[in-house]
Order: sequence, then C-alpha cells, then structure tokens
Amino acid sequence: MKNLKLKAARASLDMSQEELANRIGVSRQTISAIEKGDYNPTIKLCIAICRELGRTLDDLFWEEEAQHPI
Amino acid sequence: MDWGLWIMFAILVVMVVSVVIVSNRRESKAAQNGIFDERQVKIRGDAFKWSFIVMVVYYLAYAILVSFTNDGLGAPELMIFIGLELGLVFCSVYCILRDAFIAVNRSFGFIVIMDICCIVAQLIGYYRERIQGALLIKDGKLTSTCLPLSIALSFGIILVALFVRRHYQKREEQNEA
Repeated sequence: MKNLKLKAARASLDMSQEELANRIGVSRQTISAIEKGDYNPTIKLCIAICRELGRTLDDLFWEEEAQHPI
Repeated sequence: MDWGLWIMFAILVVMVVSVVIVSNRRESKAAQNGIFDERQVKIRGDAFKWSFIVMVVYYLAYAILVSFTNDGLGAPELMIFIGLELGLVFCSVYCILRDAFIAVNRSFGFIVIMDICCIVAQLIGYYRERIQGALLIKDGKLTSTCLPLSIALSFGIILVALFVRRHYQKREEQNEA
C-alpha cells in the first residue's frame, strides 16, 4: 500500500526524496520504495523519517482500519 | 583426480572462503557506518543467497552433463571459473536492478571506471594470449584462453545493467520532480 502520508508530509516541507534521503543517510531509492509501499522500513528508520519531517509515527505510518458500514 | 585438479580445487576453496570473509567484514563495517542502508543490506543478502543457488545449480548441471557424456565442454579450470562468474554476475545484476549495488552517496562513475578497467585488462590479457598462439578451441573443447574473454563478458554484462538501471533512475527522478 502506498504511503501517501509520507509523500504529502515531505512535499509540504518542499523537500525532495533526495534531500530527505541525504538527511537520514539512506538512498533516494529507499525513500521512493517506502512511498510506493514496496518496502516496509524498520522502526529505527521510521523514527528517523518522523524526526526529520517533524511528525509522529502515528501521523506517517499508522494506517486507519477501513470503516465498514453495518 | 590428478594433483593438478586438487590444486585447482584448493585455489577455488581459498577464493570462496576469502570472498566470504572479506564481504562479511565489509558488510558489517558498512552497516555500522551506514554505507548501505537497511533496504540495500536486505537485498544484498537475498542476492548472495540466490547467487549461491545459481552456482550450485550450474555445478550440478555441469557434473551431470560430464557424467552422462564422459566429456566436458571445456578445460576444467575454465568451467569451474565460469560457475564463479555466473554467481558474481547474477549477484551484481540482482543488486543493480534493485538499487542495492552502489552504497549511499557513492559515485556511480567510480564503479563504472573500475568496471571498464577490469574489461580492458581482461581484453589485453586475451589479446596477449592470442598473439602467443593460444587457441580458443582445442580438440572440440574450450581452452583456458577463453577465461579472460569470459571475465570481460561478465563485467560487460554488469556495465550494461548499471547503465540500464541508471537510465530508469533518471526517468524516476524526473517524474518525482
């Protein structure tokens, strides 16, 4: 599943994938893979991303369960 | 098996053990320094696993072929080395296509130059052997003269994979921008 929250948070800071990747010490492709939902990062990397973007883990990585109408 | 083949086998074992020790040291050091990120380390682990399987399948298939035909396709040292090359190329291409070949913030150009140097050195070696009168095929079998050529081919495949992946990465970066 795509991580649109991460992409939106990054875009809101006008930050490119490359920039974010450089700041947390990973490759640009890793950020791209996380945003596309191709790679599940470890909690360590999630925290690094959250710190860099000034968001919480819930903001970026918590997926709300779909609300099913009764 | 004569003593020559035992020496070849010993060299093969020493090479494999050295590669494993050196790569393990590099991997652990790289992980500490953050040279390869966690996604890349995972992919490289998968690449080592699959390349090992590729090599085992190659050696088994070749052993079966030799057993049935009582004849190999080429000189034993050549066929053993081709198995190693196959593993190397598979591992490299697997990593390249999944963006785990070049470490974080490492230069693409440096890798390409190293690769081209290897190709050139091998082609020079091949040329030297040829002008000394070495044959590529003798008695219907590939000779060890093919070795530099096969190494050059392996590095050539890696080079092509690097450029293909680079092309797709550029397109991805443009789309992202």
